Amino acid sequence: MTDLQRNKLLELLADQAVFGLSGEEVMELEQLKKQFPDWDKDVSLELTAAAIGLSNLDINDDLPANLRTKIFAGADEFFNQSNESKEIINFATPTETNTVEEIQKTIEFEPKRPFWKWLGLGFAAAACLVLAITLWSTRIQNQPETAKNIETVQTPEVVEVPETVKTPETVPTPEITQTPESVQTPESVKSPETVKTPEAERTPKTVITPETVRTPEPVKTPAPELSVAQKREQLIASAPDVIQTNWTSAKGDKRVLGDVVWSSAQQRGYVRLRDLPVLDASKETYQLWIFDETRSEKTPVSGGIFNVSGAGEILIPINAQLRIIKPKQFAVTKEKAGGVVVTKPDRIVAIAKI
Amino acid sequence: MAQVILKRIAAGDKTAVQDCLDNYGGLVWSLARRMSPNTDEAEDAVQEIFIDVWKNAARFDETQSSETTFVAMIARRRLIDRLRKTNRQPNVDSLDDILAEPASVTNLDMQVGVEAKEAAAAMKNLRPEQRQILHLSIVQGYSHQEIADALDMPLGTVKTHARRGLIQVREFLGLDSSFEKETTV
Repeated sequence: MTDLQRNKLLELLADQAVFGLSGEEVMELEQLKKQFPDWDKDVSLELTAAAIGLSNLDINDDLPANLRTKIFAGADEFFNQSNESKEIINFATPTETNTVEEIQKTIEFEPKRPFWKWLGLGFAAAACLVLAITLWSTRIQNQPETAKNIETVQTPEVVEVPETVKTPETVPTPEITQTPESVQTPESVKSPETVKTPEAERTPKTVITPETVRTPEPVKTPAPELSVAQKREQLIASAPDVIQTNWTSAKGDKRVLGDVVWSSAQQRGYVRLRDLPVLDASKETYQLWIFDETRSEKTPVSGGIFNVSGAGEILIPINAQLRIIKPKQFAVTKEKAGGVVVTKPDRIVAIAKI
Repeated sequence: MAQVILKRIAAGDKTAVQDCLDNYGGLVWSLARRMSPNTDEAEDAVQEIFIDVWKNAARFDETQSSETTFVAMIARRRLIDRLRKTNRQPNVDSLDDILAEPASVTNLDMQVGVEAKEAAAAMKNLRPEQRQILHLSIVQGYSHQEIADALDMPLGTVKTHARRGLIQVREFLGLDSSFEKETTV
């Protein structure tokens, strides 16, 4: 390894530990690690950065209970999947004793087929039987109309399952297959009243998977997306600690109208402003700041940048960059495009005091 | 007991999850809140971090670091990755204020691990610009570009100070490394 390569590798590892890497840098690092595999597992710089980060960490709160529950659910799923993969890998790749018995185990074990799938396949077998009987009866009777209807019954989900033929005895045959009268017309086959098997048991496609059985979760229906105004109203209605205060201009007159609402518990808030002067967005932007009582007045927290395209009211969500414990004042400043890291008091155009 | 949690997880012991959350839940939550723009993002990050912890538990080497520092490392990886994927906005702690009021080191109990105490001690021995840049980046969450802009310093110089400072702290901590001593810059 040349000094140049070594220093580049060191530089990338240090950058990764402190700042993170861009996609291009990640590729470059991976390339270098391939050349020097001994360094691949070296995490000493990342550990050092982690220790520095911990040295200034205040651990005041425990995990929220709901988050803890989610992590437990995630862990459960992870361990279950992990165990399944181990089982399959162990069986599928016998190493030292590659015996016939082990290979047979593999064949028997993979893929795993739960009871529900067998039940579903059983029903598919029954459906095939129904189909066969129907075909037979229609040929005997030679009724074109019925035959035409049978084509409708021949859905791929029912017919194209070869496994169903192998296990007819393992599955309770539905009542419908025992009464030829009831299967003479496709309508009777399709009718939910006639086929009493639950929907999930009809075809393998709808069989409940083992993972679903182990960790039952309610089906999530996507909630309708609320508008910013609706979210604001929802925050006001739902957050007991919500605060609301009005904007005034930095010079104390009433030219700036609007208000700000904020909930420290939810770390959410919204700014409403009316008739702010329009800025040249290529050069300037408005930036929101939050003054927290737990921080120095010199270090307000950025709440995001925004621009105004015309006269009228704007409503924007606050995007606090740090956790706000107890806000005492909000401010809007006029900054260069893109926002700034440090602001100055003379750039303030509006203030909202708690 | 705390030092065997990751080994138990690596062995597939689901009961270790409870111990892991009891021991490191608050730590990860605090890190996530510090390095996330809002609570929702922090919650998502924490879930991802713990999945990463389960996945990487077998890589933990107790001869190299404490479990606490290892978990914090996994957390930082994920949090930095998330910050880079989103449009990170600058955080706004004033540099003057940060230098005037160095971050609190009062919470250095066993919860944050022995390396954290040593790292804090090592930071005091760094050159001011190294300490400042490491603090701004690792603790305050500034990007290298933000630091370069704020300190009016070339990007390469920022990175060099960070790298040298980090290596010095690593040596103080006695962490094993594959690297030889840096001979050139």
